[in-house]
Amino acid sequence: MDIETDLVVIGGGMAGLVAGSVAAEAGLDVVLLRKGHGATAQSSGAIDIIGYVPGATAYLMNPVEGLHALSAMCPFHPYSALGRSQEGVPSDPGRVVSRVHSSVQWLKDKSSGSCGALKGDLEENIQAVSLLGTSKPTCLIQETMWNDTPPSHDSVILFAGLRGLPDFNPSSAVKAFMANRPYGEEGPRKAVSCILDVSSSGKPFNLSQIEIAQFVDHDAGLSALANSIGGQVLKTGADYVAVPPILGVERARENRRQLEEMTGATVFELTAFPPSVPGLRLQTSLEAVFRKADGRLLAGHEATEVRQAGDLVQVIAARAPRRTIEIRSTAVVLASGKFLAGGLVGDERGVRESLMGLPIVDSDLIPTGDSRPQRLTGVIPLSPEGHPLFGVGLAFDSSFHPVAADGSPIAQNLFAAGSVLAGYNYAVEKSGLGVALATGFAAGANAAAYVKGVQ
Amino acid sequence: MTDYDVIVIGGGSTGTAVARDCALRGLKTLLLERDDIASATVGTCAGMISSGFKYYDEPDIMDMCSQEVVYFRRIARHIIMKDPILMPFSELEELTRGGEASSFTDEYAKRAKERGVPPVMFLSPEQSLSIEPSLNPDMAACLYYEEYFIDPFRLCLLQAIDAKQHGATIKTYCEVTGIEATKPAKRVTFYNRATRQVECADGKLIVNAGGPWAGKVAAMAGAPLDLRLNKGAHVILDRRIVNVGISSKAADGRWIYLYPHENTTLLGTTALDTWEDPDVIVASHDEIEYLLKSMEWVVPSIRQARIIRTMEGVRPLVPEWKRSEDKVTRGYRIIDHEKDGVDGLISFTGGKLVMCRHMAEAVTNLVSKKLGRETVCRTHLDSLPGNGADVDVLALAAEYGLSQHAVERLRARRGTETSAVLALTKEHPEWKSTICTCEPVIEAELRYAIRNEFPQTIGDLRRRVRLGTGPCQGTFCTFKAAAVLAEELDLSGEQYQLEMIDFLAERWKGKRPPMRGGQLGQEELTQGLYACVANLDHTDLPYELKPWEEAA
Ligand SMILES: Cc1cc2nc3c(=O)[nH]c(=O)nc-3n(C[C@H](O)[C@H](O)[C@H](O)COP(=O)(O)OP(=O)(O)OC[C@H]3O[C@@H](n4cnc5c(N)ncnc54)[C@H](O)[C@@H]3O)c2cc1C
Ligand SMILES: Cc1cc2nc3c(=O)[nH]c(=O)nc-3n(C[C@H](O)[C@H](O)[C@H](O)COP(=O)(O)OP(=O)(O)OC[C@H]3O[C@@H](n4cnc5c(N)ncnc54)[C@H](O)[C@@H]3O)c2cc1C
Repeated sequence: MDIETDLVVIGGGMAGLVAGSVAAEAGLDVVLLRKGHGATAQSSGAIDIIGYVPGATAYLMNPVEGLHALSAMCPFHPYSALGRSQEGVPSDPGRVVSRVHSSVQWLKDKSSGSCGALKGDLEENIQAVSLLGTSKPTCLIQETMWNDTPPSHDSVILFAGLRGLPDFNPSSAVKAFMANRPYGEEGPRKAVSCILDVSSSGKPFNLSQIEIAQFVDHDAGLSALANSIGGQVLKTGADYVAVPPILGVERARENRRQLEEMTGATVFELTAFPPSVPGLRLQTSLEAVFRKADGRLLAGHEATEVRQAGDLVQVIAARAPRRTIEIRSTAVVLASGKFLAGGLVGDERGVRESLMGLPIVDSDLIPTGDSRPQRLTGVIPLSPEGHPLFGVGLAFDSSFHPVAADGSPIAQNLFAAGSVLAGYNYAVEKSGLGVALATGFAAGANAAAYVKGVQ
Repeated sequence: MTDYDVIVIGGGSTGTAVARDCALRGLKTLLLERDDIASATVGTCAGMISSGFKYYDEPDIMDMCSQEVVYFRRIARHIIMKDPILMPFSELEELTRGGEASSFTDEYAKRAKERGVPPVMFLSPEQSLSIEPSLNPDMAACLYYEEYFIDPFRLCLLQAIDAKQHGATIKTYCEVTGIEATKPAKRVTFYNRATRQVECADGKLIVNAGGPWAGKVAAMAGAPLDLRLNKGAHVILDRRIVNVGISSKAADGRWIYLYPHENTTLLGTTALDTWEDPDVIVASHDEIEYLLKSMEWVVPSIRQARIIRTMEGVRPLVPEWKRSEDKVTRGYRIIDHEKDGVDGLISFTGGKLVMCRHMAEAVTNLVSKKLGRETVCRTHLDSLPGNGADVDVLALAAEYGLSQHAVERLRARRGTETSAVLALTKEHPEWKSTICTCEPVIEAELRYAIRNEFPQTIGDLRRRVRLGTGPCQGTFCTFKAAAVLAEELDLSGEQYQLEMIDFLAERWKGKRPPMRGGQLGQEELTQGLYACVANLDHTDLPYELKPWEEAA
């Protein structure tokens, strides 16, 4: 055996890193295997708790209300499982809210002061405006995206693009923004756009958000950006400046403060598509939390096999570019993500969990492993109902053990968290990082309790 | 007073070829297309401008096809490419049965030199495998031949643009709803989808190039027209997974193929009689599995390839019934409805992409005769736009600091126009940014296409520049292209958002039927962008259901 440990976490996104950190903080020896980046690093970095009750068209002003509704209406939702103290009892909404609240509070505390520092409150959804000028309800956003006072009726908001950054077209975004009015009727009546000239290399095309953000982390980049924004603020009279998330990778918060001082306007970041800087900041800050708790992160390591004896999983084999290792562990958390990260795979015969072939169910707990993926999709690509395909995953119990068809745990020491779980469609609900956080938090704590119990 | 000498209905390969020929001969021409140029059957075809090799039992047709290939090489060489093709046989006697081999190899050899291809060769398994290692080594021999492929979208568009440059009026998004065969003029009523107005135009003659809808169009004038509608599916793989084309027998003994095509590979095709509305048809699971299963015998690794989408088209065949589809003539018929008492309406049945110029020549001869005009056909002599001197891709790439691949792809669509597109970046260097990374397509080409090629939607841009046709199927270009389109056409905020939703819906039509493998993660990403972050799944925009969505 190459490594012996208390807990192996498979997956290094939000769910795996939170589970691993919580367990390590509880005193466990934790090894985390991460094949690569999953959805967490690709995300916009805004942490959705719950934006829409499944199928609803009106968004939730208050996530707490949403958690209550889910607890009553969607018994198989991962959030609802948090409300059960044992199997077979109804989900207690108060318990759901308090457990989600603890995980949110934990994350806010842990990331405070870091590049991924968060603002927001479980009792209120905010509208995060995207690069397209659309918006979505979300709960926690990074400090550089946050406005203490949102733009009001008299504000002038300037959408500032960067020459050579094709991700963002401010003039089209302004049109959508004015059509959508994400800040409501009280929101700004005037939105304008401009293009800033800020290039690190002098190359005026094919710039990425990340290369600009890295440039802004240097003094030269920051002052170029400040001059450019400052000029436009004078010209347009803007008091809010919406920029793509390029305010920095490591120094974003400090950069923002300086920019605001230098330009006299409120400068904030829009949410963006991958590869987005806030997604990277979130991933980096979660990894820092895990390392700080003395967790061991084995990047580039893909779990290839989990060996089980009786009702316990025991050995995890993993492959890295230049070696293969075997790890004996007292417990395992599976947080391998959905299709994008490779936790689930599918072909014309059906959908499978990729590592152990665990049973797959849909949001109603109906076994769907043998359903052709196409059958789990609807004819319209984007709708509030979403595609059932993205609600499939592992069946699990209230301790976040993956379970067999009869509801019994696959193994006493195997837990699962995050988007590998069935029961919710994060894209339409707006609940992705929130579910990963809350279930990772719960699975990590349960794994720690289990390990301590057997030691 | 009539507005036009000829009104052409339909902007597929046939209709655009007819409009071009009429315009080149000085006839006052109007083309009405219900959707975009090349938006129907022709856009779902393999783009093979075949030497007619497969039609050896119709020597006249084979002859015509190989002559047409010679013309295409003259008028449109910038948008065609040549692919070697291997046809593996498991038993040698298959090759010689009934003297088939000798008759088609002879026919093929006829214009081989003019077409720039070697005569048919027979290769040993070793020779074949050295060309294409993914072949099943269990074979007796391979037949080797070479065929040309054309970008069907560009061909139609260039024919339309050439017609326009010669005085024709091209109206897209204008659906013909009525034909009144009054005398002397015929009145065509159409609904303009852009202006949402009903308009009409008078013409001396009407050419019905409605493809699979030709029967419906003829019926508007009260003329009968029988067609044998036959649908065909393609499965599209994410890259050129084979070096050369492969042709082989399917589960039921029909011929199917695997052709490297642009940056993808096409696996096709099926042939099933259909009575369904061509607008609602998508590939079925059976069609997809039939193609995969059949190709698996000769390319055993085929299922490891990533399937990005399917496409389904309807062939408007000549109405020969009670025989299998492959026994129906590949030729075309011109029907002068004068015989049905509807004077001034002429329809097509049958035909192929490769024959579109020939079909146009024949019908324009008839049109001229009926109009009493002496005209001379020039469509086989005069270049299509962009067909000119060689383009020095390497020099342009160096001059503009762009990748050679990007410039070569640009050249393959635009020929001599390439320099004009790149010149836009002198004033706007930021337009060198890649908007569609799969293909790739730079912003300057999008702007150029929007300004010069009358697209109205992102889907129209896809047909003009192959935007969104690669492995990500529009995930990373839809929003960028929509913004550019909104800027250039001054779309409203609502229209801009609807453009994205519409294009994603159109891509989804083809992505959904074969959903599996790597495309599941890709789709999670697409949902992540457009639903999770952009929230376009929760909008109150006035989205209009697409025909296939309504039918489901
Ligand atoms: C484009 C996009 C944007 C999004 N935006 C938002 C947003 O704005 N707000 C929000 O709340 N949510 C968002 N989401 C959803 C959110 O990102 C996910 O729901 C969440 O990150 C899932 O976290 P996870 O830890 O379960 O999985 P992931 O983050 O996908 O992590 C899975 C991990 O498992 C690893 N892995 C898989 N198999 C193995 C193996 N065999 N061995 C070792 N490691 C393995 C992967 O490499 C990866 O590290 C977005 C998603 C996408 C795709
Ligand atoms: C799967 C498949 C593969 C093929 N492969 C090849 C190949 O490799 N090589 C080859 O040579 N041929 C191939 N073909 C055949 C070839 O594609 C067709 O024969 C040819 O493209 C038909 O062109 P068309 O212009 O007649 O029809 P279409 O392309 O269908 O054009 C008809 C047009 O008329 C328009 N229209 C209809 N009704 C109206 C109305 N009321 N008002 C205005 N406009 C109207 C439609 O919108 C449409 O754009 C293939 C066909 C299929 C289905």
